[in-house]
Amino acid sequence: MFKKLKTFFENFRSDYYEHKKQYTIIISITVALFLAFVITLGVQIYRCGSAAYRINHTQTQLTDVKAKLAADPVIVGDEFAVDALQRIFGSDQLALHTDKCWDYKIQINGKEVTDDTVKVSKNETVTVTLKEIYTESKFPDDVEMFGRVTGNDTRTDVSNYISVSHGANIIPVKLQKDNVYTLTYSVKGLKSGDEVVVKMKPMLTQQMDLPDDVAMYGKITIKVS
Amino acid sequence: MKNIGESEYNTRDILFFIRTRKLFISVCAVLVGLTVAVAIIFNVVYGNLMEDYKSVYAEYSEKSDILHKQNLKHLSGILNGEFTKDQLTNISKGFCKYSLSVNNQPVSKLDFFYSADSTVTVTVNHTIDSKLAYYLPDDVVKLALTDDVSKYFKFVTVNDSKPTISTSATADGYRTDIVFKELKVGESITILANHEIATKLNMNQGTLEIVYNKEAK
Repeated sequence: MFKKLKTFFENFRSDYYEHKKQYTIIISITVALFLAFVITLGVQIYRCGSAAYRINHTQTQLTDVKAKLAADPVIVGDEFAVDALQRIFGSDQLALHTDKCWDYKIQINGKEVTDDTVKVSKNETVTVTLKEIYTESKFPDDVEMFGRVTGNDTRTDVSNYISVSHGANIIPVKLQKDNVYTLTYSVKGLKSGDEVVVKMKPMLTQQMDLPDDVAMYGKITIKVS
Repeated sequence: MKNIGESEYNTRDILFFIRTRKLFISVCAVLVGLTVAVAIIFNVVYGNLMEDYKSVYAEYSEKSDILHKQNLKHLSGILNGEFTKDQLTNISKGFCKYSLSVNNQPVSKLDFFYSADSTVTVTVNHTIDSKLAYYLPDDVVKLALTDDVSKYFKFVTVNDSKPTISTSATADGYRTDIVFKELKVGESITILANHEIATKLNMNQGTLEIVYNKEAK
């Protein structure tokens, strides 16, 4: 066997040196045919692969659409409406259309604010109340949030837009009841000449019905006499 | 016949050489056979895959349309619940595209137009932005498209003749044709567009003078 192989290669070698140019042609043709085979195989694998990918991708989309058709049409419709309304109006316009869903009211000792300065007597407890009143609309919840002071940021609430201080900032008591979210700031033991300062950010004052001075500067000073 | 191995060759020499080397022939035949087999087999596989793709895509298309109609109906409920008809018309009009032509020739940016015909047809095409059309319910789109656009124009003619106005649906929207008939040579029509529509129509000054001139081309 080994001897036969050895003879074959020896013959081949002598034949190769004898017909070098012919062998170059033969090898070129073989390589060309091999390349043609490899390219054909590659192209066909790519075509079939991409067709399989398209089927898979469309199948995934179909499963998604079927799931949506089987789900609650209001939830699915709301998802679509959020996207559509943002495209139709843009975020700023949407905020203007939905700010009617959110009403903000501030009271000091249960009374509406009519001036940027409020006078109280000593030993009286000062209570500043800020109410965020939600009114339901036909807009999806996510769209209604555009009109809220906090926008779509669920990590913050309206307390980030108001501060009540008497030396240091007062921590409010927060209460959510039905559609009303209330922040109550209480300051006790006030002496004559003390001041409690309420500051509100423009985002909040813009959505409130306030006297001009308060709306412009966002500041209410409570003076103890 | 020349022997193989000599310095000059011809085709017959090479063919003779190939015939005498069976291994080479076999390798070439196998390669050709494999190439053809691969091409045929994969073509069959590809054909089957495309059939599958077409059927999956057809089903996806059908279900998507149903879902989209359902979503648009829901959106229509929201819009109609939150906005008045006038507000919706204005919203929808914001996405309308208008184009102006006289006797089927575009005339935006023109101040004068010479008509060779005694009948002058002023056409306003109104279509909705195709990207937004997908997100607007049909009833809302229709509010803008069927809006009477002739009210945004004033037409001044020498003999105060009244045009015939008609609105009809086109493939991608609506068109309003304002037709003036039997003009006399030299007679003119002045179109005055209001600012809003003039801007959308790209009109220079919001005016266009149409003159009937037999020799106009």
